[in-house]
Amino acid sequence: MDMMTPEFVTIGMFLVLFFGVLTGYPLAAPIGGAGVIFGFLLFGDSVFDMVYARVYAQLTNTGFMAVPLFVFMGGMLERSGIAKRMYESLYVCFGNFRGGLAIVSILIGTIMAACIGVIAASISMLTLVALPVMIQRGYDKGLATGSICAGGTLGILIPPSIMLIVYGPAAWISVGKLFMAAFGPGLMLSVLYMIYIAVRSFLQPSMAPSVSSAEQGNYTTFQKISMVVTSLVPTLLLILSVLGAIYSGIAAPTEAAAVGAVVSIMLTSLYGQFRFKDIMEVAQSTIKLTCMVLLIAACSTAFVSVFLAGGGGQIVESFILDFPGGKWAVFAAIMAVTFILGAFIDWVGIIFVLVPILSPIIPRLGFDPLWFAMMIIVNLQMSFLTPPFAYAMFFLKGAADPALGIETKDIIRGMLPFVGIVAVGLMLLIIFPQIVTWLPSTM
Amino acid sequence: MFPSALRKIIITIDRMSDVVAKFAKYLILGLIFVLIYEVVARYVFNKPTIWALETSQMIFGAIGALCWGYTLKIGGHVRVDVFYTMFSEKWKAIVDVVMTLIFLFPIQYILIHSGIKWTLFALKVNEKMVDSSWLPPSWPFRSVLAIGFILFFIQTVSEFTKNVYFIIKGDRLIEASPEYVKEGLV
Repeated sequence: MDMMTPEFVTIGMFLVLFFGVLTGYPLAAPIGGAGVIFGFLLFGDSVFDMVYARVYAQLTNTGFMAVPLFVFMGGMLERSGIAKRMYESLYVCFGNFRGGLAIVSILIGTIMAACIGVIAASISMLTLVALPVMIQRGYDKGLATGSICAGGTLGILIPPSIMLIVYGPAAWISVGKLFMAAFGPGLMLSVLYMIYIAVRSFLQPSMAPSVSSAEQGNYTTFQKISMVVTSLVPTLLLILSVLGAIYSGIAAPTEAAAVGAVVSIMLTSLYGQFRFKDIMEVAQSTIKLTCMVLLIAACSTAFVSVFLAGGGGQIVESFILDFPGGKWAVFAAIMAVTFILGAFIDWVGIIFVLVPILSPIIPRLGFDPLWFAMMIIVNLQMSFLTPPFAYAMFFLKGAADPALGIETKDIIRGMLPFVGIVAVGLMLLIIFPQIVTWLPSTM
Repeated sequence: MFPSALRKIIITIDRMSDVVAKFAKYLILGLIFVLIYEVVARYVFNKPTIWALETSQMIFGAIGALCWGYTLKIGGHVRVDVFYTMFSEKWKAIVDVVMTLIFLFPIQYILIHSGIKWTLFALKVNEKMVDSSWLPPSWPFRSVLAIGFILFFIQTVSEFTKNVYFIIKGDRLIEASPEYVKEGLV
């Protein structure tokens, strides 16, 4: 058809996608719908086989199998009581510092992040074990909730992370490399969060009063050490077994995830929390999240393949390469768009649609694809902490005991400084790209 | 008379999706088992299997396709609800009906049409899955996918009917499904 010029396809597909998504109908449908409608107008019946082949490829994608495995693992660990033990042991060690309990929340968030690929599990665990204690000890509600949200959100950045598992194939980057690239930024953010809490509680002691040693319970140094060892060592073994295997190149992420899933069941039994009913419940929520992401994956690849076949790729490419102001202006624009989209649209949709379209252009702009991937992913960290689509807030509200009297405005007030810190972190990654690239270069 | 028959059909469809999901829970455990078996066989006994790759692909694909309908039923497909939450119940139903017609039914039509076509093709030429040297026939997996697409369509029809009924009559055909709870893959 004459009217189906690449320009028309590009603008038309994105408009349909955009308005369809904004109606609030499940995200996957307008993405895939825009794909099949334009595909049919462009290519007629042959789009049928094209869509089916893409959907088939997603449903047999070995890499994506890590998604249910890591979701399962997170659900099991959530039920293992591991976070409670860890919190109790770190509480007696660091509770007497100003802001110590909030720092411990970040610390546990970081450790859990290294064994879980999702944020839901970390945030609900922290909300259950850390929030009541902080509120009882007179911590400011904003600081308490903010540190839980920020610490828990690290779960999807620090490997293993399902976001990286999804990003890798979309950008033709190995997931193992992405995992290693994410370590630096993840630990950097964790440290920045802790520094912020320490400084803030030093300047405003009333926000985060220290806990007296009588309240902590008088433990001897030996008791403290043994508590820390029994709570941390099994977790660290889990982390090493999963990440070590990937780093050393022994196992693919999916294989490591399978090991992690089994080890998480074993850990849960070790702590005496094993119930078959729990496994089935975890399996159920795993199904729901897996199907959700697979439908978006299937629909997005239909969209992207029609978009590229219709000539949309060249339009985007020439638009980006001719963008006034050079590559850093393009970079700033992409970051701004990602941030705004991230505040409204689920990250799965953003990565599946935008990354395959943008990725071929990134090296031509002169950016390292691995570094660029990390910038997008850290940027999306902010989206979990930015209303209205702040996942962290929903999970915290869902898990928090109503008796604590946490209100939405407390959480928003608490999260915003951490959004600022992520922005600072992005700046640091621009100035020191080695934070991203060093570890993967040693693989 | 008419609504009660309709109600029965809708309830039957919803139950069917629940049963499929219950079965799929065991598939999740099966997926973990197959993958861990392969890891142990390969790295501990140095004897990799030839069947684990395709078997895990079949299980994974089956979970995905078979439970799309169930996930729709329980409201698990994530929405951008910035505006959606501001709509009245009736407008939510109208949005869902219109969007189903424009976007979801066409996708499902394509999936079912090609799904059946490729299953028949696989049967006819005895197509194999060729990712490893195991070479299992592909028609069983392709037919499970086609069944999954059909189940997805049937559940969509159920949701569609519930919404149309609500728009016309102003009350729910069956007890309202649980309210949409934001829970993405994070």
